[in-house]
Amino acid sequence: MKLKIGLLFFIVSFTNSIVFAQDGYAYYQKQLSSGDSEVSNEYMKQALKRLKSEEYELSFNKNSALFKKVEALSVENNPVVEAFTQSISQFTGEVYFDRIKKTIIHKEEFSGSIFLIHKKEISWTLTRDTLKIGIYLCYKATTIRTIENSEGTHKLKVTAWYAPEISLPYGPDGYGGLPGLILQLENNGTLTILKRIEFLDAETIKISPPTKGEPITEEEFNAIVSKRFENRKNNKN
Amino acid sequence: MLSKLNFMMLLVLLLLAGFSSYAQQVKVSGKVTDSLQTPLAYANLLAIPQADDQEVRFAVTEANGSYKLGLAKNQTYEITVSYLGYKPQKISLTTTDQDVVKNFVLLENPDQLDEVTINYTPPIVVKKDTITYKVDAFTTGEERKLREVLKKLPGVEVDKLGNVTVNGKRVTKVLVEDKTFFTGNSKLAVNNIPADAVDKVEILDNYNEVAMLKGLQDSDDMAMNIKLKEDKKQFAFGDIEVGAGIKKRYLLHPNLFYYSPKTNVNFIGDLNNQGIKSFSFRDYIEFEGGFGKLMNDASSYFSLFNSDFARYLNNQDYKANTNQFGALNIRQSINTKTDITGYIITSKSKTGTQSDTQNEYLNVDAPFTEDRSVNNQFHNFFTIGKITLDYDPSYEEDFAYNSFVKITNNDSNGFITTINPTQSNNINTLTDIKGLNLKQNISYSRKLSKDHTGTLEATYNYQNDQPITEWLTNQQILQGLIPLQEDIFYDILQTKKSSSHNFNTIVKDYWVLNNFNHLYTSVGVNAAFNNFYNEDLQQLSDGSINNFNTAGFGNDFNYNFINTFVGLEYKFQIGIATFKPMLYAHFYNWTTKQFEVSQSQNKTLILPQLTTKIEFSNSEKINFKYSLNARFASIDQLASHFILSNFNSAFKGNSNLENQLYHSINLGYYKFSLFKNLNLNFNTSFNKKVSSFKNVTQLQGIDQFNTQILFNQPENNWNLSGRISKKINKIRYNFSGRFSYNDFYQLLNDQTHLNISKTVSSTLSAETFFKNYPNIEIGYTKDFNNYRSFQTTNNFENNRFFANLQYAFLKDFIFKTDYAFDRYSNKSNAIKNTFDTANASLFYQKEDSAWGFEISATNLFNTKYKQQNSFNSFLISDSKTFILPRIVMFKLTYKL
Repeated sequence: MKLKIGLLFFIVSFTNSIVFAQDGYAYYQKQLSSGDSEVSNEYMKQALKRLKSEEYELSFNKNSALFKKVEALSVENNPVVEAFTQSISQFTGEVYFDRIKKTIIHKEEFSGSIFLIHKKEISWTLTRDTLKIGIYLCYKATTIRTIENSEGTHKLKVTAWYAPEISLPYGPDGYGGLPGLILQLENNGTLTILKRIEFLDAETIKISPPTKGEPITEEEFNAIVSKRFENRKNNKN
Repeated sequence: MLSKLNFMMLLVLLLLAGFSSYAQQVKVSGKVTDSLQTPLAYANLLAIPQADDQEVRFAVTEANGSYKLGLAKNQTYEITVSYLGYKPQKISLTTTDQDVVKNFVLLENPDQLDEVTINYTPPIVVKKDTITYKVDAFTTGEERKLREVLKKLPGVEVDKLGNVTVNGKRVTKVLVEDKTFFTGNSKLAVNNIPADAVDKVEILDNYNEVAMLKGLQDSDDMAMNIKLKEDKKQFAFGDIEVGAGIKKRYLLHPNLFYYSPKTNVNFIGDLNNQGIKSFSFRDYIEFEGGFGKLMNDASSYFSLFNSDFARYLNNQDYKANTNQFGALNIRQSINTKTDITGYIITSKSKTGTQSDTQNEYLNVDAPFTEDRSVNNQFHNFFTIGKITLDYDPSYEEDFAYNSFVKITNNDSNGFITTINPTQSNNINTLTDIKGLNLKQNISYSRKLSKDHTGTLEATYNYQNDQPITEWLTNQQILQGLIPLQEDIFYDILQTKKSSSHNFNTIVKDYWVLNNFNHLYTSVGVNAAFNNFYNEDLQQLSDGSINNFNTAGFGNDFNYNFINTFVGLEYKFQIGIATFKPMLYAHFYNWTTKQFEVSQSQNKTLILPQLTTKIEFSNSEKINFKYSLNARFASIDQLASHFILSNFNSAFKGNSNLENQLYHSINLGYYKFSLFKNLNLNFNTSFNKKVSSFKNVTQLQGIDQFNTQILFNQPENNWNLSGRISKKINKIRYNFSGRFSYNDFYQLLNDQTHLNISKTVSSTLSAETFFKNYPNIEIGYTKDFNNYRSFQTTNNFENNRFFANLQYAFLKDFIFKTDYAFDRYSNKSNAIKNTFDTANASLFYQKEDSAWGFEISATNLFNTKYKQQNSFNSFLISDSKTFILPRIVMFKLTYKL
């Protein structure tokens, strides 16, 4: 009897694996890289508390993926906390990954208009450093992000830990293009960590590219942003 | 024409570029398919080079499953092919200058999980004063006790005695689940807490028990908090070890722990006759501190009584030892605000020691040699108990009450044989020391207003010791110093009584002026009332008594000491640096009284201090501390009549001693980098004694007479130490070095000699961290010493080689062995000693089984004794200290 059940199980799982899909959901959470007990600012504390209850979802299939915050009814009515939360999370909008066209599109609202920012390919430096996250062995990759603002050009190091075992070139916050899913991302003091991943056994997830918005390149968008800030500064003065 | 030229140049450039990039590369290409030859699109190929200087490369398969991977020539890569839902495949590939075609067939992974929840927290998190290690990320599962776990954490070191240091700083308190573990001593924790119960280890620098005082009160404490795994909470866990060996060796070592949110219970028991001390006398003496942190800030340490227990502490080597030890620690929370914690520790031990020493007396009129052999039998008993009531009604208020008691009873029976030109003698020394110590302590802290926090601390300490010593000999001793009457047999009896009542109170206000400026004010009183009595006499065989008070022996001494002080501390921050200058004004008033003669004295001292902290980042810091310190004499240094201190020495105190005064400066630096696997720390300290208490020694043959004076010539002491460790791949390399310089005076036979001693010590070691291979640690230590005294210069060096091996094999076996070899040579005296020891054990535990079996052997070579050398300006000693013989044990462990 036991054997039969075992056999049955084997057959089921075998047939299953033949049609094994690359569909699923990955959920991420954000926190400060330095942990949160050092924070003394009350707004900051509230913001960190809120971040703990927020999740980011990456839905993926064989050819594409979509990363966005899991929408929940906002209970926050303090605009300062709202601002803090957003500045720690370092991410707004949604990101669409297309594996075939090798494009990454970040849909983001900026001063009232919606942009579809076509991101440049990220040039990663792959290293041999490993980190075990949950059951997955991850490798480290780093890249330098350049930010231009009124105070000059800043070079920030972004560190990603990806799992080759999950052969999906996606990740949180629009970072991807690595030979494996990014499980942890460290970016300018914010740590984005995978909390849960679900694999579906059928190709059920449909992802369509974002529409509604002005297509624009990353450089163009950055130019608009810095120009806008320039204006604001001038107005102030 | 021009454009053509340009075009040509471009072409050449392109070719060159192409050539140069392709010259270094070979192409690995092929197809990735499943077992049914269906091509797998978007499979990953990750190539990890073996050489450090090569880049990691990767490729992704096309829709038809084909891939192209560009690799460097003549390199070895580990290539992993993965595809979701299939088992990853790993191969090793060494490239030549030829392109390679390599196809991969991936097999379906029936174990593929539908959902994976990642309970992941980074393995090390560094915050301002806290380092949190997630233990799983560093352990291999072979660890049995906390000690082995800690050894694997970067930056953490554990020595043989159980002391833990983190980034060069010693851990002073151990907590489990945020509650003090027994006395807080690290030894009990590292040797008893099972490794598999530990989830996280938190290192808390600047530890403060009262949360609201953190940031206000600086503390030198570094605490280690052990966080338990969720499944160990609410369940009893622990282990029991039972062992037996040839020649009636036995061992019983149960540990039991229970942790729930309201109740914690810890029990540790230990019975053995192999010299394993769960908690030694030394640990217990070290514990004597611990109360009254604020008192330390006031920088006026006042030692009450030079404890007679010291003689029990020097026995690190013994030829026989039986220990009975039991300790129980209970915590119960009454409600969310109130906690009661208590512990009781009882220890009973029997120790036998033996040493044979050859003493060469120099620098006296007629140099001579003495052969001395000492045999001692000690019985030590102590019980200590403590109850703490913690009441924290809110974050703004904290109250704690501690009550502490210790009872000790020690006796020893010693035989000394001395053979020297003036006398050949056997002396039997019997001592019996009973002691009682009671302490009551309250501390109360409260946030007074937005900017003010107040703390009150008060302690009462009562101590009563009654040592009795008896010397039995067949020949006269200390001739000329003690008025012995002729007898067939000499029986000298000494009765000492010492008691002290000590009250300490301090009130402190912490005023936060703004974010960057704090001002702290304190006022306090120390009052001590001490009494010291001794009577030394000869019991004659006819029953009569010859009291030595005719020759100036015997004290009945009172010493009352009151210190009132006020202190001001100003803490401010500039950028990354924090400064805290402090000024304490002490008003001392003391009275001594010998029999009916009394005298009083007053003194005022201003003692400054300065601490500075510079934090470049969480993992890079500099600490600086300067202080001027005063130390007053203890009552036995003051008692102005004679007292026998040994069969060949007598001591007389000096009631005119005031205080020692010394400057001390300390500078420390540490840095660590997790991703570079680098740990670095340096520490230097300098002490300058302006005035100090000095022994004045009169030496006649082997007899000594000592008294103390206040000595005003400066003495210096300088220490420098550093440590660097770096892990490259699976091997960690350590280098540590230490330099110390001391100059000090020795007052001998009316002459003042300056002694200078210099020591350089360095250790180089390497340790492997393999998962599947035997792990070894090997190291080499070299010490150079130079000791210059009045007429002689001694140069000696010690070379030590050590190796530890740990090998887990056949899945369930763990073999461990360690070996150490010491070679000592004194170049000036042509003395050479070598000494080596080795231990080994084999442990077997089937995975998931609670039972473990172990065979162990200590002192494998059955070495009989350790040979050691020591000297000072008038004496060179070469001694053999006997140690425990080879012990072979069979042990059984059961895990709860």
